[in-house]
Amino acid sequence: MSVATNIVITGVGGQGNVSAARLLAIVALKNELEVAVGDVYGLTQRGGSVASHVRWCKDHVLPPLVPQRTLDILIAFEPLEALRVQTQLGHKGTTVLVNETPIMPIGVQAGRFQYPHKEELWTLLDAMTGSCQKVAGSATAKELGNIQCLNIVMLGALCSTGLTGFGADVFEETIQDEMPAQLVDLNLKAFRRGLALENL
Amino acid sequence: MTTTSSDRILMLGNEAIARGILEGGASYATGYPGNPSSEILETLFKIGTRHGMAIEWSINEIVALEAAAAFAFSGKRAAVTMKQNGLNVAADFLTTFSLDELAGSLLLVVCDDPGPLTSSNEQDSRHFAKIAHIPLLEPASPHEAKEMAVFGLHISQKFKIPCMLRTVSRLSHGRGPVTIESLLNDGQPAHFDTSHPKVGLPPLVTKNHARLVQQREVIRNRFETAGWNRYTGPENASTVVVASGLSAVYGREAIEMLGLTDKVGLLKIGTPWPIPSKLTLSWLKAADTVLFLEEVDPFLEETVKVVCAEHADRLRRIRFLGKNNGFVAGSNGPGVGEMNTDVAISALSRLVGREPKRPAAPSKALLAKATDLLVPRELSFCPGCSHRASFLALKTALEMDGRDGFLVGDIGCYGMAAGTTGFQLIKALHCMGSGMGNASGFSRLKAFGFDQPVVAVAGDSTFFHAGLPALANAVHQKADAIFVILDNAVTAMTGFQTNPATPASVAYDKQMLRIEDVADGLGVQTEIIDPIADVRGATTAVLDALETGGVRLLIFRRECATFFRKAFHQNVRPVITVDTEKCLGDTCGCNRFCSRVLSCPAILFDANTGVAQIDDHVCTGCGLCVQVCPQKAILLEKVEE
Repeated sequence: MSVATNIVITGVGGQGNVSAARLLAIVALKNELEVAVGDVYGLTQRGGSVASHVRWCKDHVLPPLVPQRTLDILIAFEPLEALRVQTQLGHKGTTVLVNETPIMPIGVQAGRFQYPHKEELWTLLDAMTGSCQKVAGSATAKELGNIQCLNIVMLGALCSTGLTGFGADVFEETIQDEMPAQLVDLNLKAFRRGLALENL
Repeated sequence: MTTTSSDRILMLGNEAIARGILEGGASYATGYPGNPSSEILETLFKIGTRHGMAIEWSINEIVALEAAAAFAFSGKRAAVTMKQNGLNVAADFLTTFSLDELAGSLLLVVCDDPGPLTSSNEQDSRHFAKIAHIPLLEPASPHEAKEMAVFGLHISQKFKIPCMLRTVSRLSHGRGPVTIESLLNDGQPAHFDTSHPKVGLPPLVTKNHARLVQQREVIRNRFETAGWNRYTGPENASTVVVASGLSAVYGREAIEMLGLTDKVGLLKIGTPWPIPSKLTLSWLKAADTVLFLEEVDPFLEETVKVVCAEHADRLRRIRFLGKNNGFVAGSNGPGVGEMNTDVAISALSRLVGREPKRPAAPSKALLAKATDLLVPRELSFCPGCSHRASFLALKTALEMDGRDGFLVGDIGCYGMAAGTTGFQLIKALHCMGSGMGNASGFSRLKAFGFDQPVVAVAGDSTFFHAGLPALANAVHQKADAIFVILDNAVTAMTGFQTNPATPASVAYDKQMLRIEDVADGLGVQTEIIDPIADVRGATTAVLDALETGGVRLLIFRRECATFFRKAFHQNVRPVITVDTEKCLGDTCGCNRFCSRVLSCPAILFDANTGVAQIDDHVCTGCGLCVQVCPQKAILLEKVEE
């Protein structure tokens, strides 16, 4: 078994997984843990799959990548990307939080591929994981007037599960300290909405 | 960089290296961007300038190293950053420069991209430390990377030779806690001691080479006590894992997950060249099995094997397991692809004959089903990217020409034209500017019955980096060569760094250079076209060039949509809409030209209504689709904001 807590935040380039992972890692650091983050991407500006690995343990330096079948929590900003990472790293006990709004790959837009049927995708994710919870992340971010705060809505949803053991106050303090001043209010709202979201 | 409640700061590996360069007292940092190295200099632009540091994105890597050498010659400290391919460009200077006796110091930071994740080769740069006879440091964490940058600058000055720091993508782009310390102010006046010339003439080369060989043993001794080299595990272990840099951290996790901490030793090496041989031997004295973990080549493996062979009388008979005998291998074979905990586990599991305890994987049937559903996310040019229009023009012109023509190119966003987003037009892609050099040679093939048209493409930064000599060669050789410079005014692929084609207003007030002025100086006829504003004109220009002999240079000039959209706020926003009455969808006969052929992330096809649709959230309003729609169903309006 891995002694670490292993989390992956995945999505499509531009959805903000890198900054969400950084914030989560700072929260872990503030809880006096050893933290490692690895951002897995190729050419993220350009529509590719991205994933940030966030790992922590009590006392020693960890590698920045989560080994196969040791993924504790998967936070996905996009359903297809949830399936991609769960297939690579997940196991039957992985807890998955998925933003329910899909983003079409360019090959689907161009008619070369088909995006999986919604029901088929959710059934498969349910079968492959310990618990797969849909989150109305994009809808909530849009209600708040800025789709870019989806990542913080999802961090709120993560905090609400209690799986990290980190208090909401530390997340909020980190958002205040780390985000550009003009975005702090929006993101605090986003975090609190995520915290209060009933998983679908 | 980020401050936390304690004194530990979460930093990217590259940010940590930047901090180390600053703490180590460097007063100059140069480099050329390239993944995964670019953030080091970007961080220094943010944090180093206010400490009086001079920082530059140089024209290419060899110039970056040559420029930084001036500081090391003159008693000051300097750092140079690049990716593995860049080191090849700088190698010519490096292998003569390392012979000099430095007055100051020089840290050479090279970031390798095993995998590769974003590179045109998979290269182990550590070999260059051996070739140039310079000390090599390999960090295992962001904190160690920072400490090593400081240490590297110190030992470079102490031993009067350059020092190399080598990272890999996961280290450069990984984050971890870093403890910072105060900055060193070297306080040295800059002065070049003319009684100690730095001259590579043969008699001096011999003398300096001999000094380097002696120095290697002095440095080896110093490394015997370096804290980066550590052994953990049982005394007198019969099985020892020897690992360098980040691979040591993967190794530790693999040993733990297999429950082998009290059986298998781990010798972590942070200074693989010159290897501390006494320390290595002392931890291998009871070993009968030694397993190596490292990225990319068996560099450490071969180095340790030589040490063991030379001192075989002090060792037991050892079975070496590594890349050379294929024992340590990822899914693509030994020495190919990245190291990670799973690769380390697979090697150790084979050795001890058991697997680590892990939760059950989803069933094979479920995994097969998932693989079936996993649509790839292919790359495409960004919305509003001029390359989309440029390659449409080039595709159309080559098809109209009809002689099986093709493009030769190099690395940059436009390199994606070797894939679907650029119609797979690029058929040869290697290193910076390689297409432009290839073009001269293809021109010579005409004497051997070759009649396919060849067009070389290169970006603006590439033009200055490596295209200039190729262009001069084509002119000098009287080649028939067509060059298309895809000028988007920024080094976009690596994260929008500035270059000579970048307007001074966003380029730290540097002198802007014009590609057409350079071409003019070489007597080359140039035509400048905005490929989005006039995609038909761009097509015609390529067709014209294909029919004309000599050296032709077309500049397809349009600012990078992604970078300049952020850099300049515009008062007038162009808005694209689809006239759903006019769009005929699949009955049009255009083969969904806008959504399928252009492959623009902003153009969707609504299967329910059977018409094209614009995603206003990502559309930049460039208007290329407006020009190419045969029904004139896509409309552009300007909205004041």
